[in-house]
Amino acid sequence: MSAQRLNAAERDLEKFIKFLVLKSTQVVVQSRLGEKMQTQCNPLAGSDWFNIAVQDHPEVLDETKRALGLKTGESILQRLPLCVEISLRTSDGDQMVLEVWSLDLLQSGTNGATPATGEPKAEPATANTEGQTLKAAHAIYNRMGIMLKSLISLTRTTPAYKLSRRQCPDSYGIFYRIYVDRPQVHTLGEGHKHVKIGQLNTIVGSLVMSVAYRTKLTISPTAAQAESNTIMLKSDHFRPATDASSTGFQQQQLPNGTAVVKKLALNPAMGSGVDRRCIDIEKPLRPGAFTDMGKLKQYTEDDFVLPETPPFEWLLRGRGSVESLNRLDNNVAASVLSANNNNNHQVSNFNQSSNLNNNSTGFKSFEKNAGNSVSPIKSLLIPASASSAYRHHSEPALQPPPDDDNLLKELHFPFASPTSHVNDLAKFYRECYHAPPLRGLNELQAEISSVASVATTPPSSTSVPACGTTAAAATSVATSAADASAMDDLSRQLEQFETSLEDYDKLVSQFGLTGSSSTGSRSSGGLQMSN
Amino acid sequence: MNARSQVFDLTMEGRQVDEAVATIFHTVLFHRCLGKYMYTGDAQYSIGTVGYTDVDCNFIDFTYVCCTSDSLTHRVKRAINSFSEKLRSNESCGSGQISLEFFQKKKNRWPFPQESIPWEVWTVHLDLIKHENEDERQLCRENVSDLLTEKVIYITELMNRHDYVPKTPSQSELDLIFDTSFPDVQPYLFKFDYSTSGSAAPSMGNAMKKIIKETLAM
Repeated sequence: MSAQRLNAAERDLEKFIKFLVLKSTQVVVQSRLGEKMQTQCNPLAGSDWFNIAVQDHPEVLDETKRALGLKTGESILQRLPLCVEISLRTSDGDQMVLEVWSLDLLQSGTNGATPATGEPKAEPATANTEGQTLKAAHAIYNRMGIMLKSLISLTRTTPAYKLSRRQCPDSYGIFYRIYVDRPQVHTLGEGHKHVKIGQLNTIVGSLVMSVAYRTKLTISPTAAQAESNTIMLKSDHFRPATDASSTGFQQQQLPNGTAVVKKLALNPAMGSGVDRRCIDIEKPLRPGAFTDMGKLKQYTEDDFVLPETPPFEWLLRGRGSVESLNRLDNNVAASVLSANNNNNHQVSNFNQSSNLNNNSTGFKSFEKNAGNSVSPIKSLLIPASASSAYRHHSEPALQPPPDDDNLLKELHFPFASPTSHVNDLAKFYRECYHAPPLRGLNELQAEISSVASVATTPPSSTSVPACGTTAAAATSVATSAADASAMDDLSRQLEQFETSLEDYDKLVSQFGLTGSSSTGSRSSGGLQMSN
Repeated sequence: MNARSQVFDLTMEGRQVDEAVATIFHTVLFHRCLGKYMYTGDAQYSIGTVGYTDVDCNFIDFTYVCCTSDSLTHRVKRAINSFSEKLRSNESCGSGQISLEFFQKKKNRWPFPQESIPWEVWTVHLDLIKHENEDERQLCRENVSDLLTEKVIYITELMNRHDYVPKTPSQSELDLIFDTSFPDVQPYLFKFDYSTSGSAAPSMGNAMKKIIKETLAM
């Protein structure tokens, strides 16, 4: 008689647990849809389970039932723990498991040793001490209602909620997976948090609802790789042997194997943007205002290509010019800057064509110093040297220089606002860079090609798209004789700069007055600044 | 009987007060609200369904859940508003507390008035701060959100303990346990209490004094 009653109570309990499972998965998955939820109170009809209005998503319901894989007459108690895993997948294909919500049934009392090999290690002990075992059906029902309410409240507090609200197809989407197994918390990375939502002691064991969530929300390539493996490969088949053997849940692995990662419906109206914390490490370091730009060199892929020459060779060659450069900095940096820009790119109605030769080598030494230069103005000059370096290699000099991405990168001033003068200057430079080749260049060409022929490296096609660094690497193969003459050229040229300062100024003022050409009028801001 | 008491200490900007307090109180009330009881006989009743709504905060990076009930929301809002206005006014010294008290009524014999016996009190003690710059404000915005996460987790933890809640009475005595004035939900009887006296010891605010007095009176 009493055994029969107990049986009836157990059946009731199983039913409650089953619906708690179904409603819990609905709550968790719906909370990650990326939209605000609202369900209406209904004071009249009490048809909703646990008296809470949780709508059923048919897809989620199917998914849960499939994961449970209940056959008729089979008890749900054998199918726990059930987990809902929420993961994030970026548009680039990186994946990250964000959290695992789980509902578990711990056998209390006699065989308390078998369960809890996974995360909730402390549960069996607390299960016996905490609270009394509930027998009355309505009490269990009410408690489950409170547990479900707690679940609803807590789903809004974990980091994944904020992420899901910001999801958008361009950046990332949130996915869920329902499986029957111990929560796979190892996918949550280091320092994940475990929160017990509630525990309910019943005659069939104590029901524990808990969540484990990731706290480190940065995607590192290797971690993403590892995590994606655990998802894409049906993880239970390849799970560490210790895990499988210790839990003794082999029979429950079948439904887990069939678990599929489901994409959550996206709300197109949702705002764009990856979570800030998520991409923090990806961001380049931003220099503050007035930072020495010379020290904040932008590394490009070319920097990782090692030159085929002995390292630091350029340092030895460049030494001769350092002194004169410093002097230049102290005295006339600003005026030379403006003069150089003009000089290098305007038709040489002002300079002798022989000067051009000096100019090009002079700029090269600027470039060599770029790594440890001291003045922010110099970073502007770096690309100039790159362009002049081209001209040392016969044919690229004549065709207009290719639109060099690296050059534009160098000219990007992180601290400059779009309206600032420095930007104008950069724009001006960029325009000048594409100016037609100088008339005197042909003469120069002949002279240079003779020097280049001495060099061992033929001007191969690979060196053509070179920017500052590879160009420097290529020129460094030149013979020492060429270097010596280059140094001579440099010092001569610098002297000339200083002596003809007034002429430069005159030229600048001339531009200010005439300003008829398209580049001249556009660059007025830049010129004003350098004056 | 002793009332359970929980005190949350929070420090934030004045404009965050309303939402922070609402987060805590609505989370509590959501757990303490049942569906409307509809009696079909004296002992037979059906229980309505409680809907829930996500609420995004404006001044805190946080979303909380409350019952979908305009009248309940309105009542909570009114209490919190008057507290926060007083707290942020010029006379205030930037510190105060508001409490949500659940109680049950006890009928006395005719000449004596009805007695209110609290069984659970949630107190939020607030200290206001001002931020010098936007960076600090942003940092605080995140801090307050983390703090609230912690509090909500704590609340749910408490709710799932097997603590005392009044038993559901018969229809005639329903009003002694539940607030039946709301058309859509049926929370346990509750009231708000607040004080903004910064000078008095905050741990012995009005609400607490009353609890002790009432406990002794029993």
